[in-house]
Amino acid sequence: MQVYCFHLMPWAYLPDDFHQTHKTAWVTCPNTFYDPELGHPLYNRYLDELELADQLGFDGVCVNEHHQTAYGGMPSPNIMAACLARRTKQAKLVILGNVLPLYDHPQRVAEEIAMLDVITKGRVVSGMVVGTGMEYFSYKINPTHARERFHEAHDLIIKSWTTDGPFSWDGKHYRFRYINVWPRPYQKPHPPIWIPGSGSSETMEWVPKQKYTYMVLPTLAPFELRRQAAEYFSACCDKAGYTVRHSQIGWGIGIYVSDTDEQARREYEPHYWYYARNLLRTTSEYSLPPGHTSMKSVLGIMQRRLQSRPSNLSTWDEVDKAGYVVVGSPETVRQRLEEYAKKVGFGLLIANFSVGNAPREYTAKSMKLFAEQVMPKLRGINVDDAAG
Amino acid sequence: MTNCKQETISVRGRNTRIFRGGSGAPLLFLQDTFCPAWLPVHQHLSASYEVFLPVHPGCAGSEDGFDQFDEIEDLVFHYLDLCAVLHLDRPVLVGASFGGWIAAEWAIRYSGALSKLVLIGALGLRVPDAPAADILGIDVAAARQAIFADPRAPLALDIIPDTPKQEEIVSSLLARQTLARFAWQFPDNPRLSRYLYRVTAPTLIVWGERDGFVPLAHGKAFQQGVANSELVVVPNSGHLPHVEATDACVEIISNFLRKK
Repeated sequence: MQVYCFHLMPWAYLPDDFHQTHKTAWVTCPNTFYDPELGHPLYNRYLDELELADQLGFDGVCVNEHHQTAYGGMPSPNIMAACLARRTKQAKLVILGNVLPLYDHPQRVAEEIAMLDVITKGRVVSGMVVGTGMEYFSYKINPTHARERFHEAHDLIIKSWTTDGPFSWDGKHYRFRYINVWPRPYQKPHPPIWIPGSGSSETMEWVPKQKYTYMVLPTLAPFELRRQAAEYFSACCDKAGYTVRHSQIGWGIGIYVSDTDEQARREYEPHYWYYARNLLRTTSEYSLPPGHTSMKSVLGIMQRRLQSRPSNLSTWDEVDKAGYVVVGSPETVRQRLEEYAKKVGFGLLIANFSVGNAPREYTAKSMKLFAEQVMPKLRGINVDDAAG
Repeated sequence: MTNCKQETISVRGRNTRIFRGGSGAPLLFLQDTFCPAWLPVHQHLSASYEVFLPVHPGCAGSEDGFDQFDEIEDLVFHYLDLCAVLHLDRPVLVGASFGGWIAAEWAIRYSGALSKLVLIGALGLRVPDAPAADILGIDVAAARQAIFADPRAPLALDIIPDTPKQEEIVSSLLARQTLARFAWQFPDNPRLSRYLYRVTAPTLIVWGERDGFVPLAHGKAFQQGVANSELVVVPNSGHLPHVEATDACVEIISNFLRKK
């Protein structure tokens, strides 16, 4: 198994009662909550944490893209990857991912990923996403065109990396007389593509056809629902004519390790609730704009959401038992992850150590304990054989 | 007691659902996306006209070929094509809300293809000092407040319920999707006002006094832009005066249509 360190870079200074006074941490959450004086050390601390992951031997570090929100501090994931490019040595830089439909010039994504790939001599993984519903409010992109734009932008970017330029692109949403991406990516034919998803069936059906990696996002659902998503993805690979490889399934999960189970919970829980209640807080109108997700998926989401959203849970036992996160002593965390890995078959563990407004020293301690006592024992699990 | 019948017709190969009823000169009613159904207002109008009420592309019954629609102008051509299929010659064109926007876009291009124009709380104009609400971004309570003069009335709760009835979930999602395709965040065409002078048909503009979605300033702007037009404001009514104040609205429209 490969192990990656994922970061959301959340805003850590919302007031405690935010969820009682505001309907959303997204789109229209007043940016007066953001204080650059606090933001400066926060950004640098978060970047330190990803650099620490590189030093501790994680296989990669992951950043992502969200806009106009306290939930995540990376409107430009490529800038964060650039910050990390020369400060990390071994770790892959995983951009999870660029929100393709937001951009009227997808070749900008192709260019920036190629720049990072060349600078790092091929350490880049390029994630591509449709993006949350909220981004369609923040960037005024028509959500009824989300899927079309995603697929067309994807096709354009892949072609720009794999076809000698210049060429013309004459599509529905994108028309360019001259596509000629400089630099070309370092990796051949192009950086690996990972597609994160939160369970919409159209994504899980499309990814296998491309033979890409699917990452089961951690945010919205308990273990069992996410296991079902991975199972459906594997079935879609079967349908596409091959058996899924372990390294094609990424498992996003919040992890926290401390000396004992009791101590881990005590340290982690308040910051988890900050994440679940404040940062995930949004309206159903913002999260499900019309046409952003297929009717079938919307109906499924409307069913599931009521029971499964972390913000609707009230006790830690619910969170812990249903496997929204994995928190405990090194031994507990190891057991739990092994159990999950064997049930799901994932070969990529994508772990988020920094939850909500957790303080710096907790995150660093947890990452070190994990790297020393848990990670080595996971290495041998779900490894693809050479032929696979 | 309703006299309407429903049928599905083919418009350029796309299955399109339409309600029709009554007899007399043709009246094409382009509806809003909030209560897409044959309503008392249509029943009243059908006493004097043959009323045609098509279901917009993308909405339940007219999902066919929705990917062929990108701009509001595509809908204008769709309804011109629909008139050709039904042999409607210079119909009275009535448009409410979203349907009013389509009617206005039709009228600036082909004013000669309609006999009279009625716009009810029409979307379509950009009025920077009085912008339309982001109706797809606000919650149901706020939407009811924007759409209805009395958001607590049973009618308001029925049309915009807190929890949609199981059998109406899909149709209401489809209607929102149609609205979003053409009206995402800014339900207007910034160039529409430039061409209102081209509307030569006699035009009635009806506006709810308390329209919280598309402010009355839009009604005034339509009236100022269209030479042969009058504006009638309906008291105690919001964005859907034809629904919330049906009788008053029917009288206003009937008076206008009776004029030579």
